[in-house]
Amino acid sequence: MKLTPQHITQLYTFTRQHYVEFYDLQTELVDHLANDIEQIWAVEPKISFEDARDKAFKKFGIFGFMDVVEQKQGALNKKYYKLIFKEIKTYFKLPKIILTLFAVWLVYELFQSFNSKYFALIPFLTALTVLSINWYKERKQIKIREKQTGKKWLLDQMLLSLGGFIHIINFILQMVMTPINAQKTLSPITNLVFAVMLVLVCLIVYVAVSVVGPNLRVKLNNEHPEYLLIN
Amino acid sequence: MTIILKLLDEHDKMYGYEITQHVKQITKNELKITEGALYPALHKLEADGFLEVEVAKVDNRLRKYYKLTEQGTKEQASKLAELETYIKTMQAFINPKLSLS
Repeated sequence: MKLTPQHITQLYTFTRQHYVEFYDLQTELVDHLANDIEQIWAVEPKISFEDARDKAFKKFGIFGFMDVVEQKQGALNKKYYKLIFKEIKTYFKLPKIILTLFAVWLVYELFQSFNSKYFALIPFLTALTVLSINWYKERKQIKIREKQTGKKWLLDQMLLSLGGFIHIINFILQMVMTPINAQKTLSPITNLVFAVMLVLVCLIVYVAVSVVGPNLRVKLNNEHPEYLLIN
Repeated sequence: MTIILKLLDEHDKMYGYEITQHVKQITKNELKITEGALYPALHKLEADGFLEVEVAKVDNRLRKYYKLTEQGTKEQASKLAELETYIKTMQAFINPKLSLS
């Protein structure tokens, strides 16, 4: 006996009730449960849909889908970091390294040419503002997508927080603020460290937002064509 | 992990449920990959670049198929070789060849 489209809808609801809120993950689990239910029916045709479903679900263990969700998030983050790192590496090899070194030198010279130690804050705060604007824009887009399709995507969730990079960037900014507040003037060494940090933060954000993020979206769209329909 | 890679090497593409059934069949129910362990393993292999994904509509639902990438095929060969060496070493421990000297 085969499952009806109504059964499939019920299975999507079931995964949502068991804390799987992302459609990209629900799909795989729904198909798994559906296959198992059909298999159970082949052996015990009299068993109800609900009982067969619960029987199939029990095989996931006492934590249900929780492990699958957690580890999927971890795996996706890892993939994201790897792709970012791979891309960043090209900025430390010829020919792009020339651009990187030039950017560090330029920022360093800017820091050196201004006497006020608070000047160093301006580029960092600008970077933070750009990041915040991007975050709001991204969130708005995701909300629209959610509203129109009624689906949440794990990839969107990860890209919104830049796979947790937001926290690292925040930490770097805190690190920068502390010496600025503590010192009277900034030494050339501090300026150089700041210049390297600023260029690195900008590179990470640029690569994450403009290169890796869109690539992953295109890939997800190849798997689920309805994903980018809204954009 | 090695079992999953080996199965995918033998079949062009497979989906999660199919993998669990194949493992049960081949090992005559001796070895079971539990559902809670299979999907995290598949997702990890995908994140590592060893597997690629294809989604197709089958029987009014979407099915996610996994396929080995080029990197995955290489990984499969090296993991299998590693496993074979391990089994040989263990066999040598269990059945040491006695020589008369």
